[in-house]
Amino acid sequence: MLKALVAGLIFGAILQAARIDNFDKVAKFTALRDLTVLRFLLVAVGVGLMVLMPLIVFGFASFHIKPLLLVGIVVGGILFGIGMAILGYCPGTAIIALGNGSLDALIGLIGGLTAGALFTLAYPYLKDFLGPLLDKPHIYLSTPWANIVLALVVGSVLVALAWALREPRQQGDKTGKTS
Amino acid sequence: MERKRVLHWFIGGAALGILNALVFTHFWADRPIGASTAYPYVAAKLLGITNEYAQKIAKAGLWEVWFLLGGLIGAFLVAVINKDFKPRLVYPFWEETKGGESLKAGPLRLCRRLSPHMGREDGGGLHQRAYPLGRYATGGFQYHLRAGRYSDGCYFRALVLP
Repeated sequence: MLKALVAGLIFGAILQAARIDNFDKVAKFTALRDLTVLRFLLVAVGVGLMVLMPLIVFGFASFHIKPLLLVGIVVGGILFGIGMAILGYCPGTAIIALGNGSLDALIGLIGGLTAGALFTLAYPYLKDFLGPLLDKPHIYLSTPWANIVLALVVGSVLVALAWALREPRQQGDKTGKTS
Repeated sequence: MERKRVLHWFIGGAALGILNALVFTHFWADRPIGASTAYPYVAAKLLGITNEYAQKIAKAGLWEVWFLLGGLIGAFLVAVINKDFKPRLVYPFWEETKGGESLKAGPLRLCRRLSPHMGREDGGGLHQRAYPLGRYATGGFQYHLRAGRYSDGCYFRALVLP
């Protein structure tokens, strides 16, 4: 578990250093008033893709594709989005935010544990309704180098999109001032 | 007021992408970064749930608990180094859109009502009879603690008598 701890240390340090782990940033993103979080994530996914695919092709890493439980993913995604928009954190950033003193994340932590307990207890009765279980979706070409090129292209597009995004025009706040 | 960012979003995003890719490798964790499974895992442990789902998520949940613990420590260290650590309950955007004063004032009002108030007890300050809770003497003064529902919302009064 030391490896998990070290990974988390670096993860928390990055998010805190980039100021991504606070309510204002995430809530403003869901309100489309600040796209920093979206740009951050686009770069993370794009760069991660460009680094990970060669590692997989050369045998240093493996895919971990989750099964596609259609109803579970759709319903879970909706609930996740609602919760994230209200709380201003995702399950990971809530804990990270506690590290900088965000006590409001504690409320989300309690809610998350409660929901986790309820789902765990209800899982035997719910699992038949989370499907249908579709095949693991993936885009993997037959030629290894083609996969690396595809990853570089898609990753570059995501990074370029992050750069191209413009911050939305700020609306006047309640005092009538515009930022 | 938003503080100056230390790490540009592009650098931070790239760093996170590289970290995730490295964690994926067989040399590190051979799995992606994640946090959500920690919640049902911890909840199941706290409540002693051992059903099918709890057993299914045991390994992933344990990993993610350690991961989040590391994240908490890492964020705390960076916040302290950057002098950005500040206990807070309400953020400016919440105050702007929802009004945070009631959230902050609620617990404070409750504490104020429950804590003993020192001083003289006004004759017109009571709505109900005040009940004596005790009398203490120290430092040449006597403190008479009383409980009641006072007009200013307080529940306790401590009379200080020489």
